[in-house]
Amino acid sequence: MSRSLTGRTRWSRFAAVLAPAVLAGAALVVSTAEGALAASFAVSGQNFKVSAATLEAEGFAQFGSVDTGAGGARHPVAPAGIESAKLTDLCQSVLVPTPFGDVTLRITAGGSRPVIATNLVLDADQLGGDATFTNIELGRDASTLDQVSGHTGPRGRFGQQAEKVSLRNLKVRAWGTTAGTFTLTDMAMDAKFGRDECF
Amino acid sequence: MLLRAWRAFAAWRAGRPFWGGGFTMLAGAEIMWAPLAPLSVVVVQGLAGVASLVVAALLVAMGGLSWAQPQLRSILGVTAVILALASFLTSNLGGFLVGMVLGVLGGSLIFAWTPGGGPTPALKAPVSAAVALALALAWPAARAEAELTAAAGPFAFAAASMTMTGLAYGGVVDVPTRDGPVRVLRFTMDSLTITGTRLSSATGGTGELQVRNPTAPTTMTGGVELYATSISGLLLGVVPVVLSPRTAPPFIPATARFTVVRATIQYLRADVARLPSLAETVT
Repeated sequence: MSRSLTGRTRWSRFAAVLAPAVLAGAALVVSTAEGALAASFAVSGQNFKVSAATLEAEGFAQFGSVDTGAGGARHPVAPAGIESAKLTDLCQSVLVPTPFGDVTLRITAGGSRPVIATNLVLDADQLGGDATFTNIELGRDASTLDQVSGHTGPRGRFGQQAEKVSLRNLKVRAWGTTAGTFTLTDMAMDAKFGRDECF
Repeated sequence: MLLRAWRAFAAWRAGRPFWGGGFTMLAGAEIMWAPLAPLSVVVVQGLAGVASLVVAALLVAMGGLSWAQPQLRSILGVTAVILALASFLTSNLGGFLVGMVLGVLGGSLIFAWTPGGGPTPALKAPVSAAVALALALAWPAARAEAELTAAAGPFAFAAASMTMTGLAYGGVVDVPTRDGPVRVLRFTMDSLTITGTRLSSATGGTGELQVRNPTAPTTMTGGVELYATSISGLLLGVVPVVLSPRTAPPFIPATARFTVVRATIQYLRADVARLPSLAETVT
């Protein structure tokens, strides 16, 4: 094999790209943690938990559906769509099974200033709290729901919606979430071995 | 034999940014794997929802292309680094940081790689880029009209007690549904207080959505409208009453209290509803 054919890595070039990238990455992490930038989440296939001390939402819509999880397991869910919401003491956790045992990934935020979430869809199979709904409608055809733009279900299916919802002591178990944009404040992210979920 | 294969691989490896491309593809795969929404849901959600997939697919494409076309290493490397940084905002915090770090390292390695003296052997360009673009094709769902169309089937309602004030009977009316109009009893009231609230509705397949408010009364106030296909219960706790569009009520008091209530309801609305111990479960 000819030596001249062998490529090599020029470490000065490596540093020239890596250094600004590390700076930019650090800036992204810091500004997201401080709430200056919004981050998007998409999760499914395993259940995760969301809890919050309070949730004040404009636009709430929900209907029945089925999520297909990892390995083709089917989970009946009621996707709850929220147009925009303010949450305090937000906690999100997901339990990830690994060959070395369970790992809990946990994100907490909104301790001092509320977290802002927009276009949040939680494919929930458990949802609880102390709830007050404004302009609530139960039994609307899921395809005609109009309180959360784009969040509609199959024709004929049961749907419910409200113009506003206020929830205290919110606890949700969900199998998926889509296009949720969170502006996180005081964000802390940690990964721990073992079970250390939000509730 | 094995040695020859290894030598061939080593020669192939030497002709391209092997580790850079590998890390970059791993980064895309990790971001995609890090719990990802099913495609069908993502497509319904439109571009915002698909952004996380696009970023991950592009990272895989950049890594793959850097193997196939090492001469493009500068632009592929820098693009991979930018995509990896963007993934922090679009994709679960860059696949919980792991994908972002892998992508930044991989992209930097691709950029830093330089070929030796001779010409670099090239493979045919993979279709990864085309696949990534196809994934980006999504369309937003149209906003539905506001006029009431009730669900095709009623939901089941049960309560320990139900107290209604400002009650008025609005007669037998037709509510539009997907399968045509459904005949219902229409009631309006100022307030509705329910204890032991239990609602259940089908969610498709064998699934059922249950809404309960077990430990506190549910209060619905202001412009309460109830469209029911059947109601049964004990009026004032003693008189059994069964109502349906065929056995319409002869007389309705302005204030009524029923116990052991069972009903099938097509539609229910209120200005404000309070459920202090709301518990929804889907089974």
